[in-house]
Amino acid sequence: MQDIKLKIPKFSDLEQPSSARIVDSIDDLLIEILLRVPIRSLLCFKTVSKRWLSIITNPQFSILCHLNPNPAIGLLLPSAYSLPINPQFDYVHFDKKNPLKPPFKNLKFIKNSSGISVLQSCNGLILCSNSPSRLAKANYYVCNPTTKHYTTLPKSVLETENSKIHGISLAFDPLKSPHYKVVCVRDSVSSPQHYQIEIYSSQTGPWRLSGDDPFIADVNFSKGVYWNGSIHWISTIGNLTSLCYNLDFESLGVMPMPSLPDDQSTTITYFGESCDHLHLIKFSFSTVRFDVYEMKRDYSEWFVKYKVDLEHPHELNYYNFTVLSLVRGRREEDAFLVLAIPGDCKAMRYNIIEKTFEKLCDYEGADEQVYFLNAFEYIESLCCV
Amino acid sequence: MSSSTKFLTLKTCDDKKFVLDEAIAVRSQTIKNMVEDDCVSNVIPLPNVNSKTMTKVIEYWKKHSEEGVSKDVLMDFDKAFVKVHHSILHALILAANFLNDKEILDMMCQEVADRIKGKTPEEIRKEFDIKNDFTPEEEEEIRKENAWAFE
Repeated sequence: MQDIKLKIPKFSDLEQPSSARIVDSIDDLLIEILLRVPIRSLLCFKTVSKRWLSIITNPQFSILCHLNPNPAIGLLLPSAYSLPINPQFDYVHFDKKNPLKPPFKNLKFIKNSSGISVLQSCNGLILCSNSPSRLAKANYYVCNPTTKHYTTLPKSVLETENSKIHGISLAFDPLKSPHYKVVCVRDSVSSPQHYQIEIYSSQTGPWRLSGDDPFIADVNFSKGVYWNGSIHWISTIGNLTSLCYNLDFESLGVMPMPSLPDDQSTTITYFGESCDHLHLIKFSFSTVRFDVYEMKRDYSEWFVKYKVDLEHPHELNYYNFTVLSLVRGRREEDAFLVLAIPGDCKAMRYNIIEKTFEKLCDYEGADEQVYFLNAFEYIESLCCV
Repeated sequence: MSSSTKFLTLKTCDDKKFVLDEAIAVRSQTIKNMVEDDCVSNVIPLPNVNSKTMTKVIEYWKKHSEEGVSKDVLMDFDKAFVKVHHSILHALILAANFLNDKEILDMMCQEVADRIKGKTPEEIRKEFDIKNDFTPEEEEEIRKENAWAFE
């Protein structure tokens, strides 16, 4: 055999290679094809060959693969019967016509740790922590539930200072950057009764204090929502207040909040992000009519995005329900609510534009409303952690 | 602009000649660059494209250059166009890549993607004529990690 130094793929047999084989041998073409294959198929295709594996697991490919928008395809619900030492998750798939196997039942693939629970879901990655024992502080993990790859976040130097953590939030937007940041709100070491913010960046490494001065706030730091380059926290009881932390400028701010009537019967029942829209639902206990608000990108106001009336045309008799999730899609008419109806032990999907209900799943014996309170959107992604 | 139609002659690797309106041929970015750089002699050689594939490409170019064709008609045409044997499909991808026609390339890549999704790794290896270079242990490990996707 002659040693030909040409940048063409080498084929072992003397026959003319098939077109398919040539297409496969040209990275750019193979990538063009694989970018159009659903993520679940790509996971299987990792075992085709080492070359396919290296393309599919390439960080740049995983970013290119990320759909825009990339709507959630299901919900992860902490299971009612699982023990804190081994939390189990139920998976509710949104598309009843094309059922999928759940990506996981528990987070046991995170090694050397027990009692892993989910804290937040953000554009394909989830933030988790283990239940800390008396002796050790909690570990935090950023995990891709699709690829089951995870990373354990380093400990902050402030861990030893006995500075309590009030909330920890993940900021990840693969359309902006392949790297993620984690924002931790903890007791200020220098000013008592104040908070301070620490940031971790997957790109630049260890935890560091944000430039802000210690501050006071009255919001729920355990439920941060990432949208528009900032983490947002709100208070859900008392006077409605808000706080946002912009990760690009590392600055704190507030956003306007809708007004609530004084009668105490109205609360914020949902605050979340979907497909780059920030939503808020005000809900009054005595009615099944409510408005879904959306925040304008310039933070000028919350506007009424949807007027929902669950009484018409499908009478919903269950006054005791919870909004688990508001999911937007590619098209305007794709928007739907996921409602948990604990009294009837089921989760329903309510298509907002069509005004139609679909049952998503049953929950035997789960009659405690509290059971449904933490639902985490599952978004398929190949993004690296 | 001159009103007279200019024609180009394209010669495929199997020595077949195609005479084509320049306005249609420049759907290929490669040919367009050649025309703009004024390096077009009488015949444009296409060493990487055979006549069978070129016939399909020209069929597509002509349909998509026709005037007054409705979107629906074009969509039906495209749908029928991609229904070809997989060897021709891949040949069209290579031709579109060489001719630098993003429209055909995108459409054909989408068709291959639609055909291979949901297939097993073994079926993929067969389709692309790929040798499995994993050891059974390596393969099993990756399989285990992604077990839920395999069902």
